[in-house]
Amino acid sequence: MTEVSFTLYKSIDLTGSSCAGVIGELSGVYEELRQGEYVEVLIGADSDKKDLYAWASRVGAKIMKDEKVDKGFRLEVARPK
Amino acid sequence: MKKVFVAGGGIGGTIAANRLAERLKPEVDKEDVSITVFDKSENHVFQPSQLLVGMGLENPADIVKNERELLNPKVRLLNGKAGEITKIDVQNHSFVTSDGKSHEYDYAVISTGSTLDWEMVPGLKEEMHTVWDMDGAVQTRNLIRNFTGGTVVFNVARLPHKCPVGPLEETLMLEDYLKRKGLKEKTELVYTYPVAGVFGIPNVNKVMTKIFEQRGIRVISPFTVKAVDPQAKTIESNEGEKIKYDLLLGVPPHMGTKVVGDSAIGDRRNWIPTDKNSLQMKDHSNVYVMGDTTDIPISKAGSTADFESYTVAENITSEIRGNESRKMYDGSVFCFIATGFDTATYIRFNYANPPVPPPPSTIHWWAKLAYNKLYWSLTAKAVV
Ligand SMILES: Cc1cc2nc3c(=O)[nH]c(=O)nc-3n(C[C@H](O)[C@H](O)[C@H](O)COP(=O)(O)OP(=O)(O)OC[C@H]3O[C@@H](n4cnc5c(N)ncnc54)[C@H](O)[C@@H]3O)c2cc1C
Repeated sequence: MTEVSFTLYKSIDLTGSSCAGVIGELSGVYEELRQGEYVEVLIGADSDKKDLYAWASRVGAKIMKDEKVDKGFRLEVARPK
Repeated sequence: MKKVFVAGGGIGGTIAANRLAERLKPEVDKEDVSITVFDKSENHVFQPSQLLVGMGLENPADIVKNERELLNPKVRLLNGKAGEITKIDVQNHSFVTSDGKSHEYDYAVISTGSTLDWEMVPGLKEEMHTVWDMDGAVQTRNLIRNFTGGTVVFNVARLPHKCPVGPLEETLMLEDYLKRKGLKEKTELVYTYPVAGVFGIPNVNKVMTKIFEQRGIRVISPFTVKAVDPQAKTIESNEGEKIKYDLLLGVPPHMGTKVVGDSAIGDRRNWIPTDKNSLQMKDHSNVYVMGDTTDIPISKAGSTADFESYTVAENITSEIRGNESRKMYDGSVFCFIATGFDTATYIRFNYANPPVPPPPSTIHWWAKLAYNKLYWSLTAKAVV
């Protein structure tokens, strides 16, 4: 099986309050992604992470990385198709 | 002479230009600094009042003023072909305008706003009536006046869009209108939104969801509109819902302006990559971006542009004067939320402190109307 490599489209810092919320902001950027690209997302709260996973499984996004960082969590969200 | 150019004389550009003229008064008076606003139009529309036009509470003519009258007399204004920017060249620090001229700047402020991307969803343009543009606001007013009952679907096509609280306001005002007109029993009001709930911020979503429940407004979310069928009068979502409507209201998808795309300075939706604190365009420290144009995950709102103007004006002033001090934008936003024809609440927040809306009251409603009226004499002129 060949490994698919994804390229970074952009990074978004969603640690602050935003009217669209984490999922609103992320879903907007996700629609801009082309197949094989990913977006790097910074989020602050555990609850946001839970929402993000639920959203990803709904739209078919792939979470390639999820790590704890100073401000909260850093995730890489890819569009596999 | 140092030249400061402001692209766009809407809410953000006008306030920023006036604030700069006031901060840099000694330099402007001595002609060491010039400030120029470029706008294709000579009219300045106060878009927040388009909601009130749509609800029949305001006349279209009362929400438009001549841009020249709003600007500090020391600020130059270029309009029409001379003011329509066709290219923002950040490498060579210049604007090219429709009359074919090229203008060089030392500092640029980009506040060209956002546009409606009707093409993204098939059938949307034919069917959706929106107060997010002026013609649509007048159309909405007429349709609501003649409405006799049926299913009204309010749809937010995509996030982000300008005035994130606007959909809550329009839906709740419409519900109040229907009640006052005795049409509530004959109408089903359905609110569809791309993320779960009725709003993206958890505290606000909680409060507003409760109000929607109490007012009998059906919520279907997440609902990401895929297509609208003008013949069948149905709206369909990626999530698999299909709703039949008699009247479709809502907010079309938004993107940044064409000139941003043509200048290749934005992302795929023409939002300009911007530092969320300094408001400088990424990799271009003499270019500031504000208002709807930025890619910052913050509300696209006039109040955002107003708060941002302090950072932009302060930092350009410091740079021109060779001072080290810099002001950082903290993510401040303030929005009233009308909850009917005589009540409102509000949200005030920044990056670090999420909002908690107070209970709706008539006091906040009157404050909203007063704020709109005072826009022309105070906010736009950067008096406060
Ligand atoms: C229905 C509705 C209700 C709203 N309610 C509120 C509210 O209650 N509170 C609030 O804070 N905000 C509200 N807003 C949002 C607010 O109006 C916008 O966020 C705000 O106008 C953004 O300011 P801006 O300077 O970024 O863009 P704009 O005010 O849109 O100005 C952009 C300017 O750039 C000019 N321009 C564009 N392209 C070019 C070019 N190529 N060359 C030259 N000029 C160009 C345009 O002519 C325009 O004058 C509302 C908006 C709507 C539609």
